[in-house]
This record gives sequence, structure tokens and C-alpha cells, in this order.
Amino acid sequence: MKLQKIYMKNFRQFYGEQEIEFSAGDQNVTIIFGENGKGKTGIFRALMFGLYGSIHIEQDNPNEALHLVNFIALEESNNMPIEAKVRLQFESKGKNYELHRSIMGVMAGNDIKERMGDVELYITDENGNFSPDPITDEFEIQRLINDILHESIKDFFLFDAEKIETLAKTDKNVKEEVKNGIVKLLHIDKLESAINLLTKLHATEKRRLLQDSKNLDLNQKQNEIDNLTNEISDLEERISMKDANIQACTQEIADVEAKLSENEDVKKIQERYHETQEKKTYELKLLKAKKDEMKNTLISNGPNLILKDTYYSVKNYLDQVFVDQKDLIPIEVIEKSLNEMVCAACGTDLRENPDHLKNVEFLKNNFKRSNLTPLISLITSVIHDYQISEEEIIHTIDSNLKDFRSIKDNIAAIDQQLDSFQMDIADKAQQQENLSHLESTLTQKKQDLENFKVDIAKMKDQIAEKEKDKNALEKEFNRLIRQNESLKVDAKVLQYIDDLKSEFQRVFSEYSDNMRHKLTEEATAIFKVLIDRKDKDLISKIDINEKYEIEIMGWDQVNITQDISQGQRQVVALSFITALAKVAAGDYADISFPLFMDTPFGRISGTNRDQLIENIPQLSSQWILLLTDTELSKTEEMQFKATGKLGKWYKLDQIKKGHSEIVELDLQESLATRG
Amino acid sequence: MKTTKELDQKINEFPEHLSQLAKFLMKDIEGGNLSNSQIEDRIRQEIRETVLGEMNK
Repeated sequence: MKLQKIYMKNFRQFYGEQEIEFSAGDQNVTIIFGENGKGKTGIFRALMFGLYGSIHIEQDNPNEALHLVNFIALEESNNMPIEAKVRLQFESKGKNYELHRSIMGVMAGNDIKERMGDVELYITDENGNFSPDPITDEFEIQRLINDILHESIKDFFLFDAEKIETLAKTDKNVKEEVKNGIVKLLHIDKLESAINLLTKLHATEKRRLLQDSKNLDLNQKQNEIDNLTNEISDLEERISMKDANIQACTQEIADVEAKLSENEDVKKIQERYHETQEKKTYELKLLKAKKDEMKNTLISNGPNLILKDTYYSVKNYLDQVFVDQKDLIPIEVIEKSLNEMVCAACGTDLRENPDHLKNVEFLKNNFKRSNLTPLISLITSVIHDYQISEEEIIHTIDSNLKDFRSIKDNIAAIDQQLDSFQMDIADKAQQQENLSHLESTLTQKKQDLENFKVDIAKMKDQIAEKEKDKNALEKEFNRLIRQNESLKVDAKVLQYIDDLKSEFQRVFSEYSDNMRHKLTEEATAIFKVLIDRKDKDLISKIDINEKYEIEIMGWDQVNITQDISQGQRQVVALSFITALAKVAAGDYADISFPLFMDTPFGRISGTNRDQLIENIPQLSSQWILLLTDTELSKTEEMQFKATGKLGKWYKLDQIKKGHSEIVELDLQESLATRG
Repeated sequence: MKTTKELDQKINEFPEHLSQLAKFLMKDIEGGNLSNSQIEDRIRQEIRETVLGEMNK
């Protein structure tokens, strides 16, 4: 998708008719510069209104009245209705679109009433064919626009400053939004739909079959399956409630801890508690690494260690077999000795030592190779190799075990320290009446949290058990219908639905894992390009976990999602968005999305800004920026111009309150008002 | 929105008799014009025809 032009008439501050042409291609950056209050967000609103008919954008307070029709035009109209219009031109997959939307406003006294007007969509296809009759059905237009850039994921590409700040946050709504964006853009939702649809179809077909057959055995089996299904879904519901409880409880704990930290003494202990907790995280990481190391040593040497006592007797036995077979010396060595008349084993000249020559000839004449010789050689050689390294392996295992125990002891000591800090906090809190209730709440909540986790683990075990029983019953049910001749077709249909569903489930799991992996790789690579050099090594990976949440992993593989700065968060969010667009486009070069950003640089450091200005034009097909004076100083202006990517340059002039003018500038002109 | 090439490829790799049905189902889902019940009816019909065709061979 490429945005080409937006035209506005009496829309918000844009009195009269005004338009902006967006740049694309080699010079794919468009900057619209305006100090606060001059109408930047008005342009963002016009885009949202034009594309989706949205009156509100995310940053609005829904309780506050908002008007889209220009006030001056309304005042001048003498209570007559005024039409505000947005016309948006864009291109997608070779087709050109022109979307017209209007809203009517009327002013009566101090009261303004607005009503949505007509909507028209004109399409010119890849071959330049143009229908003069527009599409006017709102539903059809919505479907077509959603097919280009779905409304539910628009915020990933067309966003205001607040959006970019929230995107990398860790609260539940953001997680949901990120998940939604990934599943929609990568079509994982379509696989989910196919699986859900087939599950429903299977159930319907089965019900129909049971009604038709009236077979008691089948009906009884199905009842048992239904009962188990209900029990499983009850358990799942209870788990999701417990999950919600965990979220709420974690939040309450954080709140209570924050309140406690208002007390200076408690704050000091809390700080030491957190420092110690960091130490514990580090030790836990060491423990895991040591565990992995031990696991690897055991996997590669386990069989040898188990069999080591048997090895000695086996090797002695096999050596004797060699002697008995008289092929202790390989035939190749004997033949080489005879050919060269020099013993290949000891170097004796056989011409000068006829008795030695006789022995070698004797060996040749009596050489007998068994079919088992190569296998015996292999076994003896493996045993030999092991015997050589046995001491070293046992030493490594011993030393790993010692290290493991020592790390465990450290963790136990740290736990004791943590407990003692907790007790100190409790004591301090008890000493002060206003804090004592907070402390008891905290203890209770922490206990609740543990209990919720235990309950969930138990319920998950129960679900696994019930799923197993249900599968067995399903198999029995399928066996019964296959035995019934009159249900042969139905049985086959059910089998088809089941097989199809299994295939979709397999692809769902493979595909979504693969996509997550690609997203992780892309987002991390883009982050490394966009972030300030000094922070490059701080973050090792932007991980998209199994729940499609963004997790930021530090240099030491510890999850630091909660600990990074706002500026770093914004770069993470931008890296994720760009990676998402890239992975979604996959091999289709014609799928690309513009990045439209309203005041994005607020919290981003100067060095990070430079990185973004230099690199985003290469990573995105089109970059449209609404920038305020604090975001576009002379330094940024020079940076933008130096990239050679700047294609269009506008500034917003405020003529008077309620009237802003969009002025196109020459690319050589200067815009920045600050040094 | 068009499915990604990778997903298309994976559906192509289904066993032959299921691959056709899977494509039929995905096309209906992607089209976005039919309700879930309509899609369900269409895929049910398609599966029945495939099964009967196979049994009459």
C-alpha cells in the first residue's frame, strides 16, 4: 500500500480546500512540520476518517465531544449545514483507489451537531480500467479497505506518539494487541478459523449421525465423550479465571510494594531486596547453564559410564577372540611386510632374518578373517578410546557436580537473605501502624499467588488426564461406527473432517512457530541497526514468545522487558513493527505498508533519532512523519536531508485560531526553528 | 489479504485428497463474503462428494 494524496475540505483546522501529496519510491520520506496546536494530529485524524470513517482516534477521551467540521466554516454558515470532506488517494497491489468521505455539521447557538455523510470509492485496476460509478456500499468499502490494511492492525503502521510508547509495554491489552497484529498479518487467524470450523463441522456431523443411527452403544460413548469435554472446558475456564487472579494479585503486590516504598526505611530494605533478587536471577542462570553442561556430558558419555565395568571383561574377551582367529595382525600389514621384505610392525629386515620371514609367512598362511572382525575392531576401539578419556570424563562430572552444589548453596543463602529482608520489611511495617495492614496484605497476596499457581498446575494435570481418556473414547467411538455397515459413508466423512483438521493443526503449529522465529530474527536484526551503538550489546534478542508477547532479552539472556528505558522501548516497538511488515510481506514484493507517525521522537535520544532517520527509509516502503519543533531541530533536518530520501517537505502555518494552512516547501529550504 | 507463500506451500503439501479440500476451505475463509455456517455447509457438501466419489470408484 502506498499513500499518494490526501485532500481535506473544512476538516478540523483545515479551513477551505487543502491537500498533501505523499512521496514514495526512491525518495520515500514525507515530513509535515508543525508546532503544537497547528494541526498535525488533524492530518492523522483525516487519514483515519478517510480510510475507516473513524471519528475518534485512540488518544481521544471518549467522554469529550469532538467535532470534525471546521469551526470558522460553521460560524460563517449562518446556521446552514457545512460539509467537511476528506479525499484519500492510495495504491495497493497495482490498483489505484480514491476514497471520498464526508461529514455534515450544523451550528445552532453554541451547539454543534454532526452527521456522517456519503462515502464513495473509485478503483482503477492494474490495466488502467476505471469505472465512473463509485462503490457506495459502506460495508463493501469496509471489506475492501480491510483487505488492504485491516482496521484491527492499522495501529501498527499508522500511529500516533502514544501508540509507539504503549506498544512495547507489558500490560494485558498491549499483549492482546500484539498477538492480534501477528495472527492477522501472518494469516494465523485463518488457520485458526479453519480449525474451529472443522471442529464445529465434526461435532454437527457426529450429532446428525447419532440421531440417524439410534445406536445405543454409540450414543452412550458419545455421552461419555461429551461429559469429559464439559469437564475439560470447566477446568479450562477455571484456569483462565485463576490466570486473571494471578494478574490481579501480581498487580496488587506491586501496588502494595510501591506504597511500602514510600517509607524511607522500607525503601532502603526493598532496594537491597531487589539487588539480592538480581543476584539470584544471575545464579539461577548459572545453575541452568551448569545443568545443561551436565546434561550434555551425560548424554554423550552415559552409555560408556553405565557399561564401564563390563567393558574390561568384554575387551579381554574380544582380544582373545582376535588371538584365536589368528588375525590379530591385519592382513594388510602382513602383505606389506612380505612385499617390502621389511616387517611393517618392528622394521626387521626379513631378507637378513629368515626365521622372522618364516613367521610372517606363517601368519599369512594361517590368516583367517571372520565376518565379525570389523565389528569386534570397532567395539574394541570404542572401549579403548573411552578408557583413555575415562579419568577426564569422571573428573569433569565430579567438578560439574561440585559447581552445581556450590551454586545451589549460593541460591539457598540468597533465599535466606531474601527471607530476612522480607522479615525486616514486615518488622518495619509492623512498627508503624499505617504500614502494618499493608504488610499483612502483602503476605496474604504472596500466599494467594503461590496457591493460584499450585491450583493451575493441578488443573493442568487433570486436563491432561481427561484428554487422554477422551482420546481413548473417541477411538472406541470411531471403531464402533466403522463396524456398522449402514454408517460407512458417515464414518468416512467424519474421518475426512478429522484428518483435515489434524493437517491444519499440524500446519498451524509448524507455521506459527516458524513465523515467530522469523519475527524474532528480523526484529532483533532491525533493532541492532536502529539502536544507538552503546546499547547494541545490552539487548541480545527481541523474542516473540509462544503467547505472541514481545520479550526483551538482555545480554545475559535474562528477560529485561520491564527494565529498559522508554526510549529503548520505542526503538523496540519500531523494530517490531518493521519486522512484522517485512515477515508478513514474505516473498510478495507487492505487500508493503507505509509507516505514518504522528510525533514519534518525543522520548527517543538524539543518537537513536539519528539511527532511525538513517535507517527507517531503507526498511520501509514509505515513511510519513508529523513532527513538532522539538523533534526537528537543525541537527535532525540536516540528517534527513543527508539521507537523500526526503521527497516532500510541508509546514503547517496557523493563520488564526481554527485555520491552519498546509504550505509545501522547496526541499532546499530550511524548516527547523530550533538549534 | 493474500496468504503468505509459505502457508500456501504447506497446504499444497497436504495428502492429495485433503489438499484440494483445504484449498477450497481456505478460499472461502479468505473471501470474507460467506458466513461461517455457509462455509460449513459448502465444505460438508464438498467432503461428502469426495467420499462418495471415492467409494464409487
